Parts: sequence; structure tokens; C-alpha cells
Amino acid sequence: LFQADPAKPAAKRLRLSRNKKKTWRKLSRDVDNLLPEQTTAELIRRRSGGFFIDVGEPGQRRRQSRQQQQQAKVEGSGSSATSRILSGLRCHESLPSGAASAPAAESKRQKKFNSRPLDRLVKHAAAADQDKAAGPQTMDLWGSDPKPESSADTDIKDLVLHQMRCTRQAPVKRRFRTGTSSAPACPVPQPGASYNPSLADHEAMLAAATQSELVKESRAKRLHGQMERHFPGTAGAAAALAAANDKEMAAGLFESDSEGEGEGDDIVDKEVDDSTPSEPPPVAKSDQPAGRTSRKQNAEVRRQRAQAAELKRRKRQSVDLDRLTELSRQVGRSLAAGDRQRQARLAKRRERASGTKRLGRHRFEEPEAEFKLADELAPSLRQLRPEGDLFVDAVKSYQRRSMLEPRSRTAWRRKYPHKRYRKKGLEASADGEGK
Amino acid sequence: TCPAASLQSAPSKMTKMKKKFTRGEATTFISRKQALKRLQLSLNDFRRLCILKGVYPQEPVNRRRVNKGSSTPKVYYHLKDIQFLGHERVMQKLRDIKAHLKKAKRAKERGEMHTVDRLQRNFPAYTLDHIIRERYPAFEDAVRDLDDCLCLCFLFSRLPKERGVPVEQIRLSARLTVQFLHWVIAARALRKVFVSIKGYYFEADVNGVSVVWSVPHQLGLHDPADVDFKILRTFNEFYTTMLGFVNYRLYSSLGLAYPPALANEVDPSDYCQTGEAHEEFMASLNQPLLSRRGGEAEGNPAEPDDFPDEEAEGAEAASAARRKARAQQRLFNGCRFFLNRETPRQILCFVIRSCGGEVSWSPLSGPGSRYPESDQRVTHQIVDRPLGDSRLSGRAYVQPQWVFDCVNSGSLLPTGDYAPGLPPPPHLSPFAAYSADDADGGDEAAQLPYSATRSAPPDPVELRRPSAAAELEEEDDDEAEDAAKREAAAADAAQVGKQQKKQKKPSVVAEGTQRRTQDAKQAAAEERRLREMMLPKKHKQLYKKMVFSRKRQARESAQLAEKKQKRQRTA
Repeated sequence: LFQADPAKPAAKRLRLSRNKKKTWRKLSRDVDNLLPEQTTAELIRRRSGGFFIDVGEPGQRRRQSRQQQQQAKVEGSGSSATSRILSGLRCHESLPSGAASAPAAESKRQKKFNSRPLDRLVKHAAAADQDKAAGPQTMDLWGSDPKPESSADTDIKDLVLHQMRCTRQAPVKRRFRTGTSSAPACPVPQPGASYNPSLADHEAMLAAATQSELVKESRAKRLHGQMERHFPGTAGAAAALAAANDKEMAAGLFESDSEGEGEGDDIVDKEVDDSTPSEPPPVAKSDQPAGRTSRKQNAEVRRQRAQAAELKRRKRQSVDLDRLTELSRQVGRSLAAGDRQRQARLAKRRERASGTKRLGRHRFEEPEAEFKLADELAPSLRQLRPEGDLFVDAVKSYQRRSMLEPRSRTAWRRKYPHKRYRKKGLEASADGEGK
Repeated sequence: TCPAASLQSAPSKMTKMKKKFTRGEATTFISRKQALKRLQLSLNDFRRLCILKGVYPQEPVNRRRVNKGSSTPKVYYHLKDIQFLGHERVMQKLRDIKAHLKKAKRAKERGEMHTVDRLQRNFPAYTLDHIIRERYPAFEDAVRDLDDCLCLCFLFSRLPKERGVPVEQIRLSARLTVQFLHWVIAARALRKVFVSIKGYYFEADVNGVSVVWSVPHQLGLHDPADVDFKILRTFNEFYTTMLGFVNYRLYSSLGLAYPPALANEVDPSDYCQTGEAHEEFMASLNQPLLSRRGGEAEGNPAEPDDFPDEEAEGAEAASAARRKARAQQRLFNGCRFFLNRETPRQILCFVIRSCGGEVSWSPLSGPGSRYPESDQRVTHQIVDRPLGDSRLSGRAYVQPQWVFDCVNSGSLLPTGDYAPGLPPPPHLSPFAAYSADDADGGDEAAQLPYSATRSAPPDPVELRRPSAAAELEEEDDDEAEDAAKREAAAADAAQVGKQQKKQKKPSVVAEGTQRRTQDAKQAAAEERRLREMMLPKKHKQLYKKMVFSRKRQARESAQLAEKKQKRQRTA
């Protein structure tokens, strides 16, 4: 389907210069070369030498053939003189049949439409739709019989050839990137999710559900603990606030409240004393002296350290020479460790390739497995109330196989109507300034 | 040597500076926004095109490199994939549709209804045949993707009309799924059935490939907020086209005519109009289909081939599977079923006919009934509610689960266990791998139904049966005590589970489901003892309670099972 046109040799890549006039001339020459050899107009021009002579018999109306009658109907909008001349034209033998037939008088819009190549193809496609409405060319998509070339295939070929001419590049081949995920398309639920499960399966399913709940609880607890550590008292703050609010709202409702008015300071935290400003913490003094003396001292220290390091290195070298066997063993061990790391990396890569890919903003979250508690199990199929939704399952399955990226609903943003108001200052001077 | 000298000896020509992000991953991936600009499509159209062509987003190894240093989360596609999309004719069609809709909207707002009508009549249409041929060059590729296709088509066939999905699409999905079910019936290709709380899960053998699909329960669907129906519609559009071609191929392999036609004349007078008769009777799944050469299609199920000279490794398992498949194909040969109104009619009809049985139902339930309830040749009647005295002789009354369990096991199970009103044996999943131990009944307590330990309220009608009454009486004696204990055990289990879940997983029952060698058992027991010792004091009490209650439950269920067996032996 995508073979290059064998008639045309592979075109070289054009080196376009900045000189626009020359470039255009070159391009137009190439375009001329690509066009079909002989248009009908050129043929007529060549054969007739540029002149047409109406050799119809004078005084006698030529009997129009059926074809010419039909053509006359089609080109009815044209002027009578031209149509008469064109219809009376005698075809030269060497001309291809139908060369003298005049095209239907096109409106300006139609001409413009037909001149553009892509639109021409769209017209082809539109024409193809008429026979598409009847049904596909053949129901036997994978049959061994040679399929009649449908207009769809021709269109694609045309499109591809056109693209090749313009871009001078071969079309991109199909790349099959699917099938890397090992997850099944229709995941079957665990045995405990049967409508009438066995004890063992049901227990296992509940255990799994409990595990996930506990994980969630532990995460919430950890967050709570972190909050407490950084902002102590916030955990109880909401509750205390609610209690204080209730107390305030209920103040004076009951007799006993009027006695304890002085306890209104419960809300205020007694431990924090806001009366005096707190002192800033003391600045830690460094042992290093600053200034020129310090720089000299530092340089000296550095030189000594460097010397010591050099001595150490030389000593170590001599020692190492005696430890060659052990060193070789060390090298072997590090190579093995490197090998193991490489294997782990490859395994991780393979797992990554077969698992769910991270596409976009949100991570894929495995859906919670649906389960029924012991007292919710149905005694019969008729009394079963289904859990879960298979539509959600389908979407999750696509996301798991990286065919769709996980999306979240955008929060509904409330739009407030614009209010118009005038600045206070402007209002006062409105009469004067007239703004 | 001095470093300056080495520089001077280097060649004077400088190499070009390597610019970042001009090669490698940065050039092979393209973000979605860039792809939209390149293809000049709207986001919705782009999504549709990607779904139709099977172009999916990719994850680059190093996102920073692709994003030129930034780490904003973006959706990336392979550049070559997007270039490939550019050749697609359907893309132009999508643009045409957009232009068409714009014109229609303008005409409608101007009040030019004749223009609107004209535009609606000439709505641009496109076909996906060439895309299907390109994505699945061989029939086997399409069969491998059949899981997805069937799941979605079955889901869409059950949608109500108000969901915003075009009615034609729903009806097309329904038609195609019914055609596929007819093929499975004709080919006797059904191998597994699993009834879960989510829906029915089936597995069939299509040309040697196991195809698994799900069917939702008959009750109303939820209204999921997270589901984007526009995207699912595009998937469904593609899959319905594909299923049509797949059905044609499957039907022609069996010698059936496609589009399918009913072999016998049907009388739709009571049920529907003549125009809908074909669809309604096809959907009843109870009519034979016309074969290609005319006349009723002969039941020639594709029998699995016999390969006596096979490698020893997988030979046993493979031959066992083949034997089971053959048994399943002839399972209900000679059985005549009658379905009561409260049973899931379409599902049961499909399963029973796929295994060679004959089905019928009351004419009031729907079209397709073949013989009345009073027919003498009926061997089994499927009921799902407590029965009175009105039982006909010569037939067994069973719950629907009997049918499913028979298919899964490949043999006719004793009908006494599935009598209406009694809690049936557990419905085990054929998709899960149970070890050989369970087949021998290794741990009876493990495989007992949950209902045996529950205090099910006794049905007053059923108490008239002497055996059932005796059983229930014995249960009633210590019911109150048991209930309390059971609740305590459940509460304990929950509490303990919450407090020390990481340390101990209850494995009293699970142990029985795995075969362990003596050493492994010992090692496991030692490990468990160690962990028990490490429990904090507070939790030890609760743990002890939990273990005690579990052991008691297991003992009770074992006793019940023994009683049942004794009664069965005497009865």
C-alpha cells in the first residue's frame, strides 16, 4: 500500500538557497516535471496546432449523439455559442476518447475547490461515501480471496503519494507498541467474591480487605502524628473550638452559667505568655578566629593535612603491594556486586515495562476489591444485590494497561458575578472631574 | 609535562558544542499539546483518533530529558506514532464532522430548519474497516483482543437509553453480543462460568484461545461519576465494528449464514411487532440458526483434537483438559430444563444450550419458549424460591447454581445438594487454582459453605420435609449460645486483626489449602511459635481468644458436615 511510485526516480533533497526568486523557479520546474506528461489540453493544443476549426456542415444541425446530448445538459449554463462550437468539434483519431468533451461549466468556487490537491481527495472521499453507505466492501476481512481494492485504499494511496511528493520522505510505518502490559483485559475477581463463597475463600478476602483498611488507618495515624509533632495541640484544637463555640452559644441559657462568668478565659492558653517579647536564641560562636590570622592558620592547617594524607597514601601503596591476592578478591567481589546490581536493574526495567506506566499527573491506583460481609451474603441468587460497577472496572482495566491515563474530575469552580462599584474618592469628585 | 603544552599540541579546529535536548529521548517523544498543534485537532478528536488507531501514551525513561529540564507532568507520545496518525483518512473525516456540526448549529440558530434537515441527512460517515485490518492483520490477533471487545459490548448492550449514548450504538452492541453467544452455543465453546457479586464471568475457547468476558447482573446499573462515557463510546464504536467481522469469520467457520437468520418461522404475535421479531427471538437464544446451505445448522461442535504422541511434560494436563472439554460439550445431552420466572433466563439458557441441553420457560416470561411446564419429558426444573407442595414427579428441582457448578466440574452433580430452600454448597471459582488436596476433600472445614455456620432462618414451608426439619431442630438448640459466641469471635477477630495485623495472619484454615512437606510444616510451625512469643502481653490475650474461637468454629463445622454425611448415607 505504501510503495513508492516506481515510475518516478527517488528525488534528491532540494538545497534551498535564500534567494527566493531562484528557489521558486527551481521548484516550479520540478513541479512541472512531476505533473502527468500530457494533459488533455496540451494534447489538443499539440494536435490541432493551437487552432480549432468548426467543420460542421453549414445549414444543417448536427444530429447530436446521446453522449453529446447529456453533455449539453450538463453544460447548460454556458453560453449557447461556445456550447455549439464545442459540441460540433470533431475528434481527431489520435486524441483519447472524450478529449473534446468540455468539462462542465464550473463556478469560480468549484474551480478553486478543485485546484487544491487535498480538497480533491476529500471530494473522492465524499464520493466514496455513497457506496460506503451500502456497507463494507466485504465482510470477510481476513479472507484469503483477493479483495477488490476499495476506494478507501485508493484514497489512502493518493494521500500518501501526495505527502511523499511534498515532503520527499517515506511514510512512517506502523509501530505496534501495545501488548507490553501483562495484565489481563478482563480481570476475574478473587474466589471470595463469589456470590456463595466457601468459608476459606471468604475469610481470605476479608483478611485482604482488612489489610488494606489497616494500611489506610496507619497512614492517617502517621499524618496525625506528624501534625502533632510540628503543631502541637492542633489535633484537639478543632474539638476544643467546637466545645468553646457550643459553650458560647449556650451562654445564659441555664441558671448555673451566670455564676461562673469568670471562667470565660478557658479558651485562652494559659501557658503562652504574650506580655513580654521573647528573646532571640543566642548565636552559636564558632571556634575559628576570623580575619587575616585565621586565614594563615587555616592555610597552615590545610598544608599539614595534605602532607599527612600524602604520607598515608604512599604507605598504603606499599602495603597494598603485599595484599595483592586479597585485593584481587575484593575486585572480584565488587564485580559480582556490580553484576547483581545490573541484573536487578534489568529485572526492574522488565517489571516497569510490563506494569502500569506513569502517564501524566496522576498515579494509577488499584481499585479496592469489592467484598460482602458475612451478614450481607445472599442466601440465593435471586436475593443477590450486586456490588461494584463493571464500567468502572473497564476504565480501570484500560488504565492498568496504560491505554488511558488516569484522570480526576476538576473541582467545580464557582464563578461569581462581577460587581461594579466606584471608588470613594472618585464618587466625591465625580461632578467636578467627570470621570 | 605542563598542561599548557598539551593544549597547544591539540588540533586547532574546535568541535561543535553539543546542544542539549537535540537528540535521543528529547526528540523521540512529543507532548500531547504539541501533538494537537501538529495534527491540528481538538483534544476530543485527538483522543478519539488515538483510541481508534490504537496509539497510546508512553512513559519516557527520563522525563526531565524529554521535557528539556523541567519536570512538569505531561502526557507523552512517540513522535513516530503521531506522524503515523497524520496519514489517517479518518482524521479528515473528524474535521469534516466538526465543520458539519458548526454549519448545523449556525443554521439551527438562524432558524433554517430545512438546512438543518439537509445537513442531518448528509452527515459525514466513516468506516473503520481499514483500521481493523491494519491493527489486526490476522484473525488470531483479533481473537486475542476479544476479551476487551466482548466486555465492553456486553456492558453497552445493557445500558438504558437515557445515558446519553446513541440508541443505535446500544442496539448494535446488543445484536452483536447475541450473535456471539449464538456462536458459542453452536460451537459448544463454553468452558467456565463464575457467578460473583460483580457479575457473571465466562470463559470460552475461541479457536484455541481462551476468551474471558464479564456480563453484569440483571439489576440496575450504578451511576459512576468517574467514568468518561465519551471515551468508552469511542472504544465501543471500534469494538462493535471489530466484533462484526469476527462474528462473520466465526460463523463461516461453522458453516452458518451471516448475518444470522433463524432456521424456523417464528410467530411474534404475542410479544412484538413483525419487524422486531428477528431481534427478539435471536435475543432469546433458544432458536436454531440457519446454515449457509439453507436448513437448520447441524450441531457439529468443534471437538478438541487428540494428539497421542505428545511430550510428557504438559501431556497429562493437556489431555485432562481435552477430556474435560469433551465432557462439557455433552454435559446436558438429553436433559430438558424448565426455567422458572425468577431465574436469570438468558444466562441459564446460554449456559445450558452451550452444553447440549434443551431449555424452555413460561410463555409469559418472553419469546422463545418451546415446551410448557407440564411437559412430561422435562428432567430438571430450575427454581430460586421456596417451593410449596406443587411439585411434578419425574423431574429434579434445583437451584441455578447447580447448572453453573456442573459446567465447572464437567459432570452432573447430585441434585439433592441444590434443592430449593436449602443453602447450596459453595460456588467455587473455576478461575482460581485450587490444589489437588481440595479435590480429595483435604480439609472439609475449609470447603464448607459459609452458610453452614450462619444461623439461617428456617423456612416454614421446608420444615414439612422430615429430614430438613430434624437438621434445623438440632441447630436451633444451641442457636442462641452459638450466635453470641460467633459474634464474640467475629468481634475478637476484627479487634485483633486491627491491632496486630502485621505480626500474624490467620492461617488456621489456609494451611489446609496448601500441600506442605513435613519439613516445611515444621519450619512454619516454629516460625509461628516464635512470632507468638514476640507478641506483647496486651495482644496475647486477644490472640488466644481468636485462636480459640476459630478452632471451635472449625470443630463445629466439621461436626455439622459429619452429621450431613451420616444422614445422606442413611437416606
